[in-house]
Amino acid sequence: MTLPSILVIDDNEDLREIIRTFCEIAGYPVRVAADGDVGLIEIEAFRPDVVLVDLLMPGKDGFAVLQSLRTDYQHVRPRRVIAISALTDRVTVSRLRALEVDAVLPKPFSLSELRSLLTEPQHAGG
Amino acid sequence: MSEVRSNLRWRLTALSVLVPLVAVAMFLIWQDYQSRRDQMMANLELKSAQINAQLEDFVNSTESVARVFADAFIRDRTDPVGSFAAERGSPVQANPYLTELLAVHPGRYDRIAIASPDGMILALSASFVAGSKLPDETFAAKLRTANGFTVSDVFTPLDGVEPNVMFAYPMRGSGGAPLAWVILKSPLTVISGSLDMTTGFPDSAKSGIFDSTGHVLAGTGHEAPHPGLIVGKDISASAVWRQASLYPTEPWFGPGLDDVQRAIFFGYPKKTPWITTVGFAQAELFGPLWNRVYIFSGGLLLSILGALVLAEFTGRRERRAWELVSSERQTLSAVIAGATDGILVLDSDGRVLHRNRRFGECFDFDPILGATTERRFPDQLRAAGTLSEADEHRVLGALAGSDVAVAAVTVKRLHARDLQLTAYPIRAADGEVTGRTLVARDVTDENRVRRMKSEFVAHASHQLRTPLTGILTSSELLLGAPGNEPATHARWLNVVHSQALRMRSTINTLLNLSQLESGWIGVDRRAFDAADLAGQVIETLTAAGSEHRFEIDFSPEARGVLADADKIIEVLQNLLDNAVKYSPAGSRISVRGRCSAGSKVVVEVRDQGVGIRRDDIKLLFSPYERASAEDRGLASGTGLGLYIVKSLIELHGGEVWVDSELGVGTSFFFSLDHADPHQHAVPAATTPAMAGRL
Repeated sequence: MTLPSILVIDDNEDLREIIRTFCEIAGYPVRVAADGDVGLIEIEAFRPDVVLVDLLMPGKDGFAVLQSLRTDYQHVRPRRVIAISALTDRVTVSRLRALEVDAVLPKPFSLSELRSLLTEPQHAGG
Repeated sequence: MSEVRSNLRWRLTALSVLVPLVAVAMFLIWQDYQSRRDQMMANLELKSAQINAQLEDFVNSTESVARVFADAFIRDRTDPVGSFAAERGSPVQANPYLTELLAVHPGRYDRIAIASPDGMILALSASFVAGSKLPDETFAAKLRTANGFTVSDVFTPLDGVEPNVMFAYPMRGSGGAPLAWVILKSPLTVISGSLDMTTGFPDSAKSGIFDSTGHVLAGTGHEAPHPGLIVGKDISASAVWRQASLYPTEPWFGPGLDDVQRAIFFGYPKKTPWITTVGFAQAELFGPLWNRVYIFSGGLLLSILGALVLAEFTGRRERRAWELVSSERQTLSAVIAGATDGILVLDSDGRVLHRNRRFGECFDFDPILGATTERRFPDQLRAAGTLSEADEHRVLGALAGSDVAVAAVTVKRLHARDLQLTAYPIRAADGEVTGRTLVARDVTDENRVRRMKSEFVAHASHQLRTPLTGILTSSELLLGAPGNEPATHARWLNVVHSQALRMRSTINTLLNLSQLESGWIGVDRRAFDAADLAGQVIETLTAAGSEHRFEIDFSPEARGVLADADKIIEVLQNLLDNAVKYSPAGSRISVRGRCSAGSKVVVEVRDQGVGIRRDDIKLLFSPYERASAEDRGLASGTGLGLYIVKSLIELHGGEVWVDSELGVGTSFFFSLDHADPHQHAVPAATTPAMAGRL
């Protein structure tokens, strides 16, 4: 069984690298992007199965990426879209639901949480 | 104002009592006067009739006496006239027969004579002969034209003794033609003496008899003989006589012959040529009247005095009460006017009794005070239209109940205003609700602060979540991942360290903010070179790996500033951090210093970054307000840096402002006091203590 490919979009270099390392160690094909614009280009080129997108970023942020995936980039929408969020308020949660996010990874998270999120059956996502 | 009204009310009350009282009293007195006058006139008329009847009796009895004498003459003498004429001596002598006849009625008639039809005296009693004056031609002429018993005019005085009256009675023969006249003479005193003036009449009553030419014949009554004292006097020019001649049947009020005001009644006895009067002094009439007026006036005066004393007493009490109420009202007005909450007071019909300025500000319309039903507050509120229909319902619902009610509404305006309303009932002593007060508190700011605080807590926790995630995950990699090399270990340890530093920085910012807000920060002003200071801050940035191009450009005179160098380091760090964060690597970041008017130095930190939207600029310096997350990127930093910058510069008496263009760059400016030129050379007083700061 082939592991799903993963794209990480996060402006925080440390977190980006940690997730990338974790994925590599776990055997996931993984690529990273430092902002939303690059992230969308990567999605189109790399066609990942899963995208992990941080919400708060300078420039094109996570919300804008999620919005694009519902419109201009719908044809390349990954199978799973996971939002990494430090915001847990009700407004943000409902906004994410409206953007059809499959799952939310709330900060602060641990790698074991990330692992279980990646390995859980897809239908349980979101 | 109210005092004047109160006084006026007192006067009106007093007048409304006094005027009818006086009117009723005057009416009663006048009624009494009228009835007394009517009674008096009736008495006068009655008395006049009595006197006239007495006079007529006298005349009638005289006629009877004369007839008896005439009958006797005719019976005693076959030719009485001839025989009397024969007996008449020359000179005229007393006829003994007549003298004898006269003795039958001693005192009543003092003389008797017989005259021929043409008036010639045929015989006289002795008393006539002794008299100085005999019946003259005037008397004879009257006899010639008379046709029966006649009462002559008065002879005034006939003999210098007293006025008297002549009566003539015709002796008639068998053919009916007069044969001779029997003439009787009676002193007026005898006539007037026979009149009764005293019975049933006041002491001041008098009676008088006048002949037809206006001469006084006799008087009687009180202090009689009056007007007998002036018997014979011609009164034809007097008011009494004029009244008697002009209005012979009218009773009269006016001065009598003695100049005393009298009520007089005139009478015309039958068979007499004279006029009688009866009258009495009007004092009889007016005396009781004036007594009543005096008594009433005295009573009235006493009543007024009593009322005045009472009025003064109650007036003082009322004034005291009014002063108390007035003072309480002033206090209440001051409390209402000075309240920071909007206050409205309504009566039970919803009319506005009081409202303060603040209430108008809260509701964005000023309720009109007024007693008319058109000025009910609910109508005014609907007309103002500053509330939504639902909110209007809430306000009116709170006002409608009889208990304390609260409501929260939002006034629709450019900037919506949240109001917390409390309606209280005003109760009278008996517990009845006589009105409502509505207190409006503007909770817009409170709500905003509450919202911002909660956002801030969320934001601050968010600022800690990201580095904490870094620490968690990298430590997991360190702990659990197999096959890690020492170099990889070092890398993850570095992550742990840098993320921990970031958390400390966030916590420091929060502590700084807390210090700034509590006002604990002092400013230690010294003169230093601002360009040097900027250089030091930039050094720490480049040492930390910044790849931007930094420039420092201070005009020579702008280098010296008077400030707390530690605080300015923090300011520059914040601004330069922002510039680095929001502009691409390799772009230019410049720090410029120039002198401005008013001994100020303006420092500008300019970047070539993404810029800030105009709408976001005004929120930049607000604590807890987040600039648009999308563009300002709250992914790092607390978002409080600019608020701290602003607070620190304002502590120095300076200002902070910003100029930005999207996609071109942003300039932050701040102003500081210019230092004395002699102190320019002094190096920066404080070594920047960067560790642990932003």
